[in-house]
Amino acid sequence: MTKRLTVRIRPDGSIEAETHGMQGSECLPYIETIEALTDARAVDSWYTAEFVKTQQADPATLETKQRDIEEHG
Amino acid sequence: MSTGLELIPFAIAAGVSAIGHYRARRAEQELSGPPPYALETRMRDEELLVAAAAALDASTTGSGGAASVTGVAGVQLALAKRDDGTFEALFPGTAPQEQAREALGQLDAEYTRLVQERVYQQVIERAQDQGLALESERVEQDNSIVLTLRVEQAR
Repeated sequence: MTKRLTVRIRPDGSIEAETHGMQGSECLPYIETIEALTDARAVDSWYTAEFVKTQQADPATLETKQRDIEEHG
Repeated sequence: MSTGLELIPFAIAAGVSAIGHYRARRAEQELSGPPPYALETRMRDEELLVAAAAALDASTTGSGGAASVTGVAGVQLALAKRDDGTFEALFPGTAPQEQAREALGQLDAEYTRLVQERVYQQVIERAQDQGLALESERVEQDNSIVLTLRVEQAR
């Protein structure tokens, strides 16, 4: 499956980004990629149904990343 | 889809409203008349701030973390960088607060529009180095720019 990122840049300067076509924790390194692309800091993150479905084998990974954003956001 | 992110560019202070707290500058109060006052902003980038003022046909003087802007919504304001990296806007005590907030609102709107423009340019310029190829772009009704990037080199 082709892997993609979508980046929505709003007129108020805020940004929303999503990864597509990635399995489980495969998407996590792209958080840093998106921050580097946009010169921005992630202040919130969420996981879609597809992520949750494929993440069941490794639930600790997303909890760690979410905690990292909350602490250093 | 697998994950989503909300991001704030470094040029904008996260978690701060466009026009922040009011603070009277009593220490600088003149012998007569109302004291000057300050309004906090979320703007952090001086270059974009000056460009935003210019786009509003306002004149700007000063540099290095301080600037004086004349002609936004008919008021004069001074901008000074705070310790947290944001600028605060200083108004003479005679400037009505409503007018001051209107001026700051206009400046903030133009500033964030320029941030949007800059982020767009950065994504286009940096995509290849990040192993990405621009697949499509569109502008939505609310003027959001949506870019779709294909991963060419997986992380």
